[in-house]
Amino acid sequence: MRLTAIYIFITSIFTAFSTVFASAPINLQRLDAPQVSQQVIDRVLSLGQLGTASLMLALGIIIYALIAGVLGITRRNAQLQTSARYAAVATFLALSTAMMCMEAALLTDDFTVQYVAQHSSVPAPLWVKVVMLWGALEGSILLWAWILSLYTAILAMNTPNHALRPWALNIMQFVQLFFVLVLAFVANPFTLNASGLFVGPGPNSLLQNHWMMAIHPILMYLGFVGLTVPFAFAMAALITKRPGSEWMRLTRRWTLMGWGFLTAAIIAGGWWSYEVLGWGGFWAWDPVENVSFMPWLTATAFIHGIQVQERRRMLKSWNMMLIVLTFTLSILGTFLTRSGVLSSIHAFGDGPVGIFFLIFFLLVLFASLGLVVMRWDQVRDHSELDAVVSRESSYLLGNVLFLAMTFMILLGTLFPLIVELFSGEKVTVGAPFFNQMSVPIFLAIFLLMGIGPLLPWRKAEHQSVIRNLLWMCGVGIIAAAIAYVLGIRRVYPLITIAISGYNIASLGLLISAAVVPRARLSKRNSLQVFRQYAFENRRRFGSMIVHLGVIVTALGIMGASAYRIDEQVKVDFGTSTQFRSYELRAIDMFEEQVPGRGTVGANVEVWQNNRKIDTLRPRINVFVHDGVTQQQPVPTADVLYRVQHDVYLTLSGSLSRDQAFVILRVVQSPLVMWIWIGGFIMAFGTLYCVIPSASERKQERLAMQGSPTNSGNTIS
Amino acid sequence: MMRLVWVLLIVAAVAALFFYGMNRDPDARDKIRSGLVGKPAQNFELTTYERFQPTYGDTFGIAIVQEPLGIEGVTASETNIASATPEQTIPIHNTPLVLNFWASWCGPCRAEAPLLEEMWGKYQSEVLFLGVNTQEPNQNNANKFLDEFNWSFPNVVDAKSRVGIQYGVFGLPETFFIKKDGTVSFKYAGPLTAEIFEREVQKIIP
Repeated sequence: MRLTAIYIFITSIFTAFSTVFASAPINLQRLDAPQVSQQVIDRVLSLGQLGTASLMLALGIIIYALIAGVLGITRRNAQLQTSARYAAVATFLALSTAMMCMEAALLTDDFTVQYVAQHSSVPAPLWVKVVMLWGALEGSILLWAWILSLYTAILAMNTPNHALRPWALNIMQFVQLFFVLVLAFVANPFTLNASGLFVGPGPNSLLQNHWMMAIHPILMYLGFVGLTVPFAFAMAALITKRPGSEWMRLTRRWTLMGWGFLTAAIIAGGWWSYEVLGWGGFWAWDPVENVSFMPWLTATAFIHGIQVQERRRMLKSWNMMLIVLTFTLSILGTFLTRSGVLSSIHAFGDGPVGIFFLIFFLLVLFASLGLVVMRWDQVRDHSELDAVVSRESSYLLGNVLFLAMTFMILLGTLFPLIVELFSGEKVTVGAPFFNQMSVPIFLAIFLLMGIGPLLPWRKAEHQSVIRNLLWMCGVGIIAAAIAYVLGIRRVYPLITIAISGYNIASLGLLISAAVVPRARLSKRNSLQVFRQYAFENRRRFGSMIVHLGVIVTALGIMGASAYRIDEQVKVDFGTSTQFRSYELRAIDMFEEQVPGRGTVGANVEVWQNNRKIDTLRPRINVFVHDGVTQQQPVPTADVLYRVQHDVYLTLSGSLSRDQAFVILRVVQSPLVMWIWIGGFIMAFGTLYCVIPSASERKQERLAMQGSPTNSGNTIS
Repeated sequence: MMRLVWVLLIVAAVAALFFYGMNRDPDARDKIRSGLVGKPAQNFELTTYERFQPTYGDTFGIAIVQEPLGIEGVTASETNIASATPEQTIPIHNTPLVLNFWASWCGPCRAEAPLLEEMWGKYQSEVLFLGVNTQEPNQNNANKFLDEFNWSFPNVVDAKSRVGIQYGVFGLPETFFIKKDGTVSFKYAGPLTAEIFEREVQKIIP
């Protein structure tokens, strides 16, 4: 009781303090701008101020939580530690208030809030106004901070009492402190619009064009924040000198979830780019794409590395470095995309926050690397590889490849900057470099993915390895041969298909190795045994699902990049043209008027074998007035999704009312749909791993009740 | 301790690279100019505020006669201000134009409003002025704004903010100086000063 009272007392002091603090600049502005109408001032006193006040409140609570958390540890005061945990929930509530203020301001077109004035507009559709919260710099940081506070609150309330928990929470609060400081003082989304400027008529039209843009950033931040949790526990492990494996066991589920969200985010970004950017591609090795991909690579390596550590007590320092890299790379990416250091098609532009993200990045890099090297004697591996051919060695090799890939991308992304630093010349590193470097590395990882899980820990028997390899290679060669007969002659696609076949065989072998002996022992039919196996070994089976997703995605990428057909055709309305196996009939043009923009487009029927398959409506979002076509049209594609390939139509050139023809850009991308399906399978597989099986749930319940179990480590 | 020094060195090297990157001239990295300058102004036609309707007609706008040059682009030949009454005293066809976007909630618009009226008094025989009210949640406030400043040049309502979007207006006020042939000569974002106004208006007077 007393504790709660102290807590409420301190929170209310902070509230009072922050309200005074928050209202001071507003009063100044009122004096400065007497000409601003009364209506504006009435609004000034509402949402903008409330939002800033809740940010200040959050800031105060975070500072309190950090002080209470650290004092609680140094003085071994359990009450202070508990208070710090409750403060994490309070932070979440304060930031939720800020989120609600921003949504309210966006939905009511409150242009007195600068963020709304800059990024929203009266005629924007409702859903665009809703998602505009994370459509620009300040709001996206707010969303990030909010998710971070949500995770911290869940961690504070849900993690079992463990020696690592207090420090891990402090690290989370420290990261949160940075974000809220940036929000409060550098990129405050609630800054008042004293100037009357509204910069930008609504959101970027490219972002408005697709619903995918509404979820892509959320997935991204859920991923980044999810991966902050294992980082916080790793640092806590180093600080408390408990560099064993507890920190990763405690956070395994968070790691997997973070990884799953990041995977989904990257795939969603690719899909958005495919549907919206009008060139029918999904990945361009743009800096912004690269910086989201690098943490994914190191996180993938980390997920595999922690399995080795769990089983063999090896790779301790390696895993530490990987999680440090993952977290720092996610901050580096945020810095690079928001500072204007690199030229990119979709950077947030030269914001004032760049320098702060840079300082935070350098601080985190120095502190975390410093901690790792200071504890080096403790995290150093004591056991060594028993054999070259073993599961741990294949995982280690895979990890080395993931890291090689990361550094290749990092180098390629930063190369222009490095060159300019030393020679002053401006260079660009384009897709050819990245493709040339990454495809062989990917194929090597792809090879390891098949054999790795089949190898036993410690030391493999050569006989069984060779038997498995023979099966896998056999299937791979047959797959490649079929592809060859079907007309695929290029080297990389053939190799990809062969390795995919080999991987499918590997999955089959894994399942049969698990199911066949069990079925023999229990004398039940193998389907029942398989079902039981799949339900109880969720992590193992989930990883197989994820690997299946990887195979599917790899095949999709192979087809869409190696066998893409991109043509321009001119069709008169009322006539048709042949494109590969399709007949494209240009029917007529159509016009639409929606608030904020006008649209012209063409109805194009797609026929195959004298059967109509679909009507596509590629269009140009354009501003039309009295039938006169205006400048700067935004071509918008329409896509026919098919299992074997997509037919992607965009309008080339302009289209006006009296025009008798239409020029179409037709892109046929084989298998491109399977990239998205593969991404979905990967996300599903991750979810499958994360949901605990019945026996795990039972153990967890016991652990939460404090009953002794065989180890406290089963909480994942 | 030696190891910490190594970490420090690595971090310092990374810091040096990025601080250099941050301090490059952003303009040199990728120069961005207003896309409309030098290009034809865009056509529109909007409802005139009631108070201007007797003089300027119910609707008012720009109609640039365009000569299509194939499929790739169009060029403008002359401005043509549409829909005015025939007994117009002020030249409204084939004239240079100052196009001003404003809203009642915008403080700087208020700041420059008297200047615009003053300049209209000075140049109305040579240049046409047109005010476009855009991004306005409440038309009552817009009418109060017009009452307050008593502008005598025509003003129209961009009720759905479409014309503002068309012109890529990213802040209020924003003013476009358009030549007689319909090309945009200059765009200014923010409250105008007499100096800038005089300099730019001279460029569009033939």
